[in-house]
Amino acid sequence: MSMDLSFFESVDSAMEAETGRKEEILRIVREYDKTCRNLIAVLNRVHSVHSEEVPIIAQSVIDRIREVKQHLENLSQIVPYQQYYRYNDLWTRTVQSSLFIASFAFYLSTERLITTNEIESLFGVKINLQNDLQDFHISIEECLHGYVTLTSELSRLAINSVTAGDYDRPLKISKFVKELYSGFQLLNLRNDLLRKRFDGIKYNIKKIEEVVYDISLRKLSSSSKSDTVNFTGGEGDV
Amino acid sequence: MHAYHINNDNFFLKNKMTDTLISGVVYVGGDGGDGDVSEVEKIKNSFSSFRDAIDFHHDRRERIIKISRDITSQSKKLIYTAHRITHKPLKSILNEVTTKRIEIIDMFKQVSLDLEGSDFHRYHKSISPAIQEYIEAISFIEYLQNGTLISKEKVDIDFKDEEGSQFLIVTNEDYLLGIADLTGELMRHAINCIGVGDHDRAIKICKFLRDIKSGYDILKIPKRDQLKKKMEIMHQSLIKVEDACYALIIRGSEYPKEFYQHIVSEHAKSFDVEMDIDG
Repeated sequence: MSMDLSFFESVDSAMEAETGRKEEILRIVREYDKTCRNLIAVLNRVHSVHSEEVPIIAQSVIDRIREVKQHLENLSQIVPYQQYYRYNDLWTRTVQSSLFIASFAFYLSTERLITTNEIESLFGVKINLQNDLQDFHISIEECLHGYVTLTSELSRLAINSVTAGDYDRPLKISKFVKELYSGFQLLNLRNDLLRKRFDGIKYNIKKIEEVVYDISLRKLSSSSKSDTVNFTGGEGDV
Repeated sequence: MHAYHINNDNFFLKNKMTDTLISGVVYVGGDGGDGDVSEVEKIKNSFSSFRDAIDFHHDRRERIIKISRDITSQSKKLIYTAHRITHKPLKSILNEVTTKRIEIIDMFKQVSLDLEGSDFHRYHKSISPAIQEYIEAISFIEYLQNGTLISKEKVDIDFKDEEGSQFLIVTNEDYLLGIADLTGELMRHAINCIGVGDHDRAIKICKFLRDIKSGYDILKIPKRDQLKKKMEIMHQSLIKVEDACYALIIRGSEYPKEFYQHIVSEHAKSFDVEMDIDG
């Protein structure tokens, strides 16, 4: 044997250590994912309850975000300094899902968009707003993915809240989702997954608009009832 | 907050109800209550800052990809130059190569400014092909010069500044992928050697390729790793050289050298056609 193989041997042990670290990260991600699925299951109930119960459900989920915070804490401890981008593919989908959960619960309890500051304090993790973070963080793209999922879930809620007898919520959802969409329109998106999903938002808006149209046409919302009084001079006063 | 939204909806409906009923399309929100402007503004403000941050990131990535392409094409030229060794003395090739190497290293220095701290791993995928191609080139030159496999430490030297500190990290993966590509060049070189009748050299290359392959055989490569595919190609390159050497030995005793050279070069051409996909 004319060649020294010790280099390859040392590389092999380095690769093995790397595999070990990835497995450890995946173990944390699996737990994290489980928490997300549980929280989504809880949030699903808002599609079938009376509107008074919705903020209570939302609050119970917001309270449980500290479980997510713990998982993120575990991840941030395992990722070495300045090596976030080496591993972030392993957890990004789960982070996106938890950001959707937070923004949905937050909307249901406050009827506005969760801000980056609020995400940071809920999750205990910084968002990389300046492209300068060296440690574990949440990316802007992850937040945006969470927001896109929010629009699709809200279009579903617009429909279901009608079924549950709440005719006002679709109007509020419509306004909110359009505001959110106008935010998205400010972005210069590349031809990536986010762009594709962004293109899908307009279908969610269309779906919500149809609900709003049906409600308005039949004068079903409380505001359209009271409005009808002004508008038609008493005809709707029943 | 709740009451506030109801008010806003009232406001909208008073103003927009006529439009709604006539056109059948509902426009809710946007220009609704004036108290809500701040909420829309808040969303727009944060999305504007998202846009700036995302644009910054994409601009930087594109800058890196551009340099990466330049380095790759320059490195390919280095390899072409090195292949001319079968027709040119080593010394003139080394002279030619040295100035090109300095130019490439300058480009690496330039791009390293965008790859500091955690950004190294963020954009590593964009620069890695260039690093691999460069390693392929310098390892080929190293072999022609010394007949040895360039060590990782020796590769690192090119990525150190005057004070000896590393301006760009070469990962083990970059090194392994670059050397894996080297085997393809060595295969071509071996065939070229046979073409000009330098049989001893071809057999030496064959042995050297076997040594490299045994190094890689030690590694436990994860599934779907890009190295896996390259090892497949490496294996094929080795088999081609082995076949050519076999032809050399078995028929070498039967034919006069000139006649034999013709056969082998025909054989070699068919290999080259096959290997050109590697580009």
